[in-house]
Amino acid sequence: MRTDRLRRTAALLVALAAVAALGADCAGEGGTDPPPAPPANLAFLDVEASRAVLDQITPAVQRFYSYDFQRLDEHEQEIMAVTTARFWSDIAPTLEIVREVAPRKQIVVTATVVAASLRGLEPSRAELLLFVNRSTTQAGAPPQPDATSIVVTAAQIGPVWRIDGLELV
Amino acid sequence: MSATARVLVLAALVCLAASQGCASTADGGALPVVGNSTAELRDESVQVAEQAAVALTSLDDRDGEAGYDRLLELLTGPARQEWEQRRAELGSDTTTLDSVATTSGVAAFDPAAATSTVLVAVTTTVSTEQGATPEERRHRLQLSLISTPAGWKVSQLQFVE
Repeated sequence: MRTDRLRRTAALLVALAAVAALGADCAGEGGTDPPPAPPANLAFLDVEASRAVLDQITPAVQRFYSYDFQRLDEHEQEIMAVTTARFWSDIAPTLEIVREVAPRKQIVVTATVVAASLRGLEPSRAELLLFVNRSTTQAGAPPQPDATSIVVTAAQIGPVWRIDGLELV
Repeated sequence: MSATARVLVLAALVCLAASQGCASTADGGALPVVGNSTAELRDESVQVAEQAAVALTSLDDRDGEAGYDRLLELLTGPARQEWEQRRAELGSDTTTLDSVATTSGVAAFDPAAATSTVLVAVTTTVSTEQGATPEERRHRLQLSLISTPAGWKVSQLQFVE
C-alpha cells in the first residue's frame, strides 16, 4: 500500500517536472520574449494611411507650386492651409520674393504631379517622392516647361497631412 | 487504468497541449512577423527597380553586350520583349553613361497579387570620348514589377515625361 502511494507520488512529480520543463522551453522560445518590432516603414503596409497621405499631399504640392501673379494673396492663403507652421516660416522669405517679382514679370505657374510615391511612412510623418511638371509663363514669352523630382516631408496634424519640407532631387 | 497510468496520460496530454501552445507562441506575433516579411518583399521590389533603372540608363558601348545582359536579367514580359528588340536596333555610341539612383519610392504595392510599382529618380553623367565636360542628365522612371519564382522582375518600365 505504502509502496503504491510512493510510486503514484513519484510518477506525478515526474509528470509535473516534465510539464514545468516544457513551460520553461516555451518561455525561452517566445512565451515571454517581446514580439518582433513592427516595420519602421509602414508604406503600403498600412494601406489606408498610405492612401491618405498620397491623396492629401499630391494636391497640396500642386497648390504650393501653382500661382498666378494676379492672385498672390489667395495663393499664400492656400499655402498656409497645406503647410506646417514651421515650414511656413521657412518659406516666408521666398514668398516675399515671389510677391515682388511675379507681378512685374506677370508670372503664372501651373504645376501638375504626374506620379506620386511613398519613400517612408511612420505614424505621423511621411516622406514622398513626387514627379512634378511645371509650366511657367511670363509676359511676352512662350511657356517654359520644367520636369522635376521632389522629395516631400509631410507631417500629420490631427487627421490632416501637411507639407513640412520640400527638396528638389 | 491504474492511478499511475492515469497520471502519466494526463501529463502527456498536458505536455501535448503545452507544446502546441508553445509552437503557436513561437510562430506567433503573427502580425509583426508577416508585417516584417511583407516589408522585406516591398523593399526587395524597390531594390530591383533601382537596379533596372540604373542598368537601363547606363547602357553604353564600354562593356558591349554585358550591359544589355544585366538589364534583360531584371526584365520580364513586355519590358523584356521591348528591350530585346531595342538591343537589336540600337547602334554603336561613343558616349559613356554613369548612372546612380538618386531616390525612389513605392507608388503601389500589393503583396497578395505579388505586384509593385516603383518610381526612381536617376542622375546620369554623360561623357564623350573627346573629353568634353561631362553633362548631367536627370531621368524619372516608373517601373511595374511582378514577383516570380526567380525574384522580382520588371514587367513594364517607362520614362515619365
